[in-house]
Amino acid sequence: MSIQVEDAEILRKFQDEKTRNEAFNLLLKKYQQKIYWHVRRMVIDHDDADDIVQDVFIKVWKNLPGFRSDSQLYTWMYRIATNECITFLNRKKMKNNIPLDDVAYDLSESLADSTYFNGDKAQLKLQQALLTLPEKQRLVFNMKYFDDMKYEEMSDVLGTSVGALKASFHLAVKKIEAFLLSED
Amino acid sequence: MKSDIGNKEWLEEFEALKKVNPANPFTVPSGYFEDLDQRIISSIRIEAYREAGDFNGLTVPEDYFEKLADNIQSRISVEDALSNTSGDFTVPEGYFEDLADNIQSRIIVEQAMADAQDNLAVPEGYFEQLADNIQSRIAVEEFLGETEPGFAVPSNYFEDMEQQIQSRISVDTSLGEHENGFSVPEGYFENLSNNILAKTSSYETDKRRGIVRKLFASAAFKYASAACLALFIGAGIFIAQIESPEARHNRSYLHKALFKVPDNEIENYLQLHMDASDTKALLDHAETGNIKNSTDLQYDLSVN
Repeated sequence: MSIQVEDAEILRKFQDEKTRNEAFNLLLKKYQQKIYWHVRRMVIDHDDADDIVQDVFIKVWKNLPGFRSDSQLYTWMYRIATNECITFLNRKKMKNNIPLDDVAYDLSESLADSTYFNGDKAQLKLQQALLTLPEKQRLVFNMKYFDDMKYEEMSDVLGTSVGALKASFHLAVKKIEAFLLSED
Repeated sequence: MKSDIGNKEWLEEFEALKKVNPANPFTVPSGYFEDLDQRIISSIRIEAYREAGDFNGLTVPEDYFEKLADNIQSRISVEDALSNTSGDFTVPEGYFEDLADNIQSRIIVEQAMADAQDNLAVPEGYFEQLADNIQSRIAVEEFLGETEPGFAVPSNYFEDMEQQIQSRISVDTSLGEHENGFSVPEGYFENLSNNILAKTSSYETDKRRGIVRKLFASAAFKYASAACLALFIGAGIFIAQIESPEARHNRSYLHKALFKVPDNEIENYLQLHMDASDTKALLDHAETGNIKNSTDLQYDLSVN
């Protein structure tokens, strides 16, 4: 069982050039899976998620020296990962010259055939329901439902007010429920 | 729905969603997270190198990429050639099976040749003396062959020669008596030339003497001819002059009548009384009168 190092400690070690690599390794071990699953739920495909995760941590490495600790390290990295996901999805839409709804449809289709998805029928349906949501709503639902993040943390990540996030989440849940019921 | 849904009590309101297993349905390849950090660090280093443009350990020779395409093409050609040459070089059937025996036979033959060369020896200095020996031989044979220098005669030629001469003499003698059947009088040829000359001098030729008279030789006739010619020419010129259109006009009544009338009066009359028929008549006869240029007349009549 690994000992979770405090973010402050990581930041302190990172500031020292001698211990920078050590600090970054600690940061990786602490947050790589969280960042990965956050990305994975958005882009569905494992290989895409792998690429995005590496890009995220490259940006973390580059920008960590300028991190001013006015937010949580975790939420800061979450924000980077979220932006990378949105950029990726938009790029995919533009690359294939198809609407984002069709991108969601493609993701849904790939999910059913994916080697790295072993959920049951209900879980598959839930994921398909999530893919029908707008990106922001899907993010909100994922961070709340799967990551159990607080609205304040989500607000820090998404740059949206807590109230708006609650409303967005409420709408997302209702849509999902309707989808799950209608597809029966 | 409660505003604070941190404890997921809100889920109670959504039966369908509540039934869904909240466990993570996504999986990753085996050992993915164990080396993820290393791969991330490697990516960071690569990114750093790429941004710095620093590939000290990854240099290439000068013009490497410029020549790379040609090198690849050459390599492909070589590979193709090597892969194809295996079928171009063939050997006769059973070559390799017979090769050992052939080599053995060749060895035996060459050994035998070497031995044979030893048995076919020549005396010492043979080749150095060969040329002199040949010259000596030639001289000896020439000496032996002087009586027969090379101009041979038929066999028994000299034995038969006397008899042949005698026979020839007999033949010529007999032929000489009847060498021709035509005879001539005695002294014919001696007198032949004189006879010919005598006959040629006996011809009498009649010489005719004709009187050659020169026609038109006298000087009077010449002067008379010249005078007649000049007279004819002069007459022709005179007649041509008196019969010219201008001379006729000058002899005409109209000319004589108008000769003394001033030109301006004639012009005034024409301007007042001339009509189209007069104009045409003037144009038709423009060349016969004193008017030299009918074009000028036409212009003058047209503008007036």
